[in-house]
Amino acid sequence: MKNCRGMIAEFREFCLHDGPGVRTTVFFRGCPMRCLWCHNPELQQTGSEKSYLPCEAAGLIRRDEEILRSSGGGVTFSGGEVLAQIDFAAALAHELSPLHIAVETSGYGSKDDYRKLLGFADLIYQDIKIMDEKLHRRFTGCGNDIILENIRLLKASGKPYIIRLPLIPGINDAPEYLSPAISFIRENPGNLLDVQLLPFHAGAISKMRKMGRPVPPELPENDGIIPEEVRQMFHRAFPGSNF
Amino acid sequence: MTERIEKLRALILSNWHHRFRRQADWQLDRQFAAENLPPVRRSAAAGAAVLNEEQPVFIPGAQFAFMRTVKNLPDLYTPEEWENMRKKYTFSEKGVPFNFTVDYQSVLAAGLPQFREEIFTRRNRESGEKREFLDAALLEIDALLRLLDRYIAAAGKEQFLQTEALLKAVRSRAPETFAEALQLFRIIHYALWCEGGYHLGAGRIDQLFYPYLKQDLDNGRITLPEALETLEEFFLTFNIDSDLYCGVQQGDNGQSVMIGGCDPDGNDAWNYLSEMILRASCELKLIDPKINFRVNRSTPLSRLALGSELTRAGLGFPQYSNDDVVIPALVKWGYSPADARNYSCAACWEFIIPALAHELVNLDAVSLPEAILSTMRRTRAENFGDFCRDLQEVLREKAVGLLEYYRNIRTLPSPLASVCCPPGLAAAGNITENGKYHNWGIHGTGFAVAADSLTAIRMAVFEMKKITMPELLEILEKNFSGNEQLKTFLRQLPKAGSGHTAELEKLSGMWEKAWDGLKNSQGGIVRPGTGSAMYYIWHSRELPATPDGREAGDAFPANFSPSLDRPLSGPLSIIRDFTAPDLTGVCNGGPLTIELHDSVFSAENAGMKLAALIADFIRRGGHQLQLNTINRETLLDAQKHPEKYPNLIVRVWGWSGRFVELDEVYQQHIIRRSQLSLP
Repeated sequence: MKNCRGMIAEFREFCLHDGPGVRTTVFFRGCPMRCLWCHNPELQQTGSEKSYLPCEAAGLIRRDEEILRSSGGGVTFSGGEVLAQIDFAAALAHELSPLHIAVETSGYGSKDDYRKLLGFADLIYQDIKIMDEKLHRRFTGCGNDIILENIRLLKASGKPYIIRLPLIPGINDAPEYLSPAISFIRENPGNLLDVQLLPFHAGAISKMRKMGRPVPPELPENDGIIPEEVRQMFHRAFPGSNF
Repeated sequence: MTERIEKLRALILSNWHHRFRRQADWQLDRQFAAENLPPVRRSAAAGAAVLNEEQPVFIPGAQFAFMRTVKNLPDLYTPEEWENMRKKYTFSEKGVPFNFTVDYQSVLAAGLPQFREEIFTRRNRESGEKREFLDAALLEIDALLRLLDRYIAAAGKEQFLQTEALLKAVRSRAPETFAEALQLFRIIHYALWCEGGYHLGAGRIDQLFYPYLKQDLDNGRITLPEALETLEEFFLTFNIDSDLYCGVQQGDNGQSVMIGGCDPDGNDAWNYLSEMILRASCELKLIDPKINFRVNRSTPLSRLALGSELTRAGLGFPQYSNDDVVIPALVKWGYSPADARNYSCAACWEFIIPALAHELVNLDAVSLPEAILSTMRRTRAENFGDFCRDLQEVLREKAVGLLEYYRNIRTLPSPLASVCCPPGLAAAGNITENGKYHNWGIHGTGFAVAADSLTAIRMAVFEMKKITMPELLEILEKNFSGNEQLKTFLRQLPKAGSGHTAELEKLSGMWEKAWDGLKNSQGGIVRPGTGSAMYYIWHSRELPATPDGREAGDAFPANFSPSLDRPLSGPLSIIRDFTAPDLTGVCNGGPLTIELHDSVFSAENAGMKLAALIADFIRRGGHQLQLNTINRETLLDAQKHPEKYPNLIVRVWGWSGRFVELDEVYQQHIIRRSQLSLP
């Protein structure tokens, strides 16, 4: 494990928005999903760029260990998809121990891999993109059975977690798509800390253009806003969260 | 902010009070020349003349009085006299004392009548030049007292009764209340500007005024909200005449204050006035007074978070000074530990000892990138070590050359300012010559450009042997014309701020060593620093391209900061790199400046997170830190529509100004800095 190399696109320092305190966010490269609205499309493919041993990556992060610890922060694994490099992620987390580790994940990976993730993560940001299996397949390129199964594992694990729902105008932001998500989230919620709605970022489109990729016609040109009706709906369902 | 303060603030920002101003037709220089009046008497006569010419006016709703109605100060010497003087002497800037802080504490403790009495008694014991000097000071003090009497009469007549009572109190005895102490400070500060001094810092005002405030609170004379209101009005007084105190640019007026730090024994000196100062400044959102904040590794995060609220407000301050580095640096330079613990900041960032000296801490600057080009022109080095040896020689020559240039330096007398400093009063002479310390400060500009250039020389010339020194020099002199590839290559080499420190550390050591053992003509030493003042523009304009890939004429970064337009990893990398050198040897002042995008404040607990960043800087041994929040889009829009942004505040080099009042070259520099705004 210690010798598996990780494909990392960036160590982004002084991140203030992805978890408690000051954090370093590690962007893992490679993702099995192909979400239409992906705002890090450049991280979908693995390439021939520099790879890191867990101890090398940890060494870079540890230069800032004091501020990460003293601010009550830590390290956030993001991507790409962390589950796609789970053995490296686990080894890196081990090297970084006892720093607080948060993971942002789609949940698209085998149960075994997801269990490994739960083994080292102190906080999980778990996406729910679309509840409907068919639509999920259409807009992300893969089914969601395995994701929902993993979320059940997450709930049962007792680990603190936050559910995030990307809201893409005209694709998954209609109330009828969202009520099943609400029901699913509320069922045996375990250690659910928060539910967050993530409005669409048009930055994704300029990235696609820069990469020479066709922009899917379904995507809006501008930043999305959360429809009031949806906001109200979530507010009623999760009164403790701030939408 | 109370309604009264809000109204007062709006009135002052609208320049309502400018209606009382007039231009005086001074002809004193001719008269002085005709009488062949000695310098001391000229300074005093001119200072007194301004005070005599002033008329009492009041701003509706204000409790504190004293504002300038005469816009211009008299010349003391005719142009011909100046020309002759400049043949014999060199002068720092305008030649009058600036960039220092008098001993407000002793004047406040004595009160005006007692203060005058002490000088008068002293004067009767002295003779000759000393008596003449004290007479000169008395001339100004008496003019000030007469102006105060006129103010009292006018306040009574115009029914400014609260003001009348305050002024009567400070006219008759030492101040006893917080408000009286603030009013007397205002009067002295005002009179010092009238004498011609400039960049007059207020010093450690949380220490100065705390006993008065504490007594008021203990006696139930004032409540905390009332104290805040009083303090806010006091801060507004710094913005009444400030446009008349213009330095290189509007806003560059040196009205800085210091909070925090320690007492003479090294104990934490923070008090609730320190906190109130941050709060008042945060509410008022004005460029004056400019707040400096002394911190150390024990400073609680909660205090740093309070400071961050000002950064969030976009004020370009507080500027943090790290006692853990600055105090040992000052002690190493020969300041007594107690004096070092009482340090404050001059106009921008130069560390000064208030009350005890007027040191020329902003005397001049050496362009470090220019030193590298000079070295390249003369060196025959075959390895990097030899090149550095040659560079050290060039730096030493520049140091010796500057000391020679300033061998006959002279500062014009300042009788009033001098008697407001105990050593000046004790000597019955000018504080500049009679201060306890006589050290000079020289800035090293373009630190990052020079360090990155050294890296480029080491790698490209000596290690990779990609190019010879003469070839590189020729290409630089042609500004990379036809060699774009080389420019790109040089730009991609490691840079200070993105994980490379070797040359920054080396250069810092060399800059310190350049001055080692040298004495200035006043008997002091020279303190090298990392500041740039306006030289980041001035020094860069004429300079050819440099080995780091910078083009000819392109600006240096301000102060001790990464080069412009280079890829950066983030604020933690910048802090890591710029705290790597031992900064105690180059500690004249000059902050690491980091521009943050204002979106950082949308994060939860942003204040505490920024506090952690500042703590990281302190822990790593940085000396001075400037955090700014910038939104590039706002700046660009403000250039197009200045009328929409009359009070948009930005940090320029060592001070905050209104963006729309700056010359374009400074505006452009700030916009370019914002390109590296993080994250």
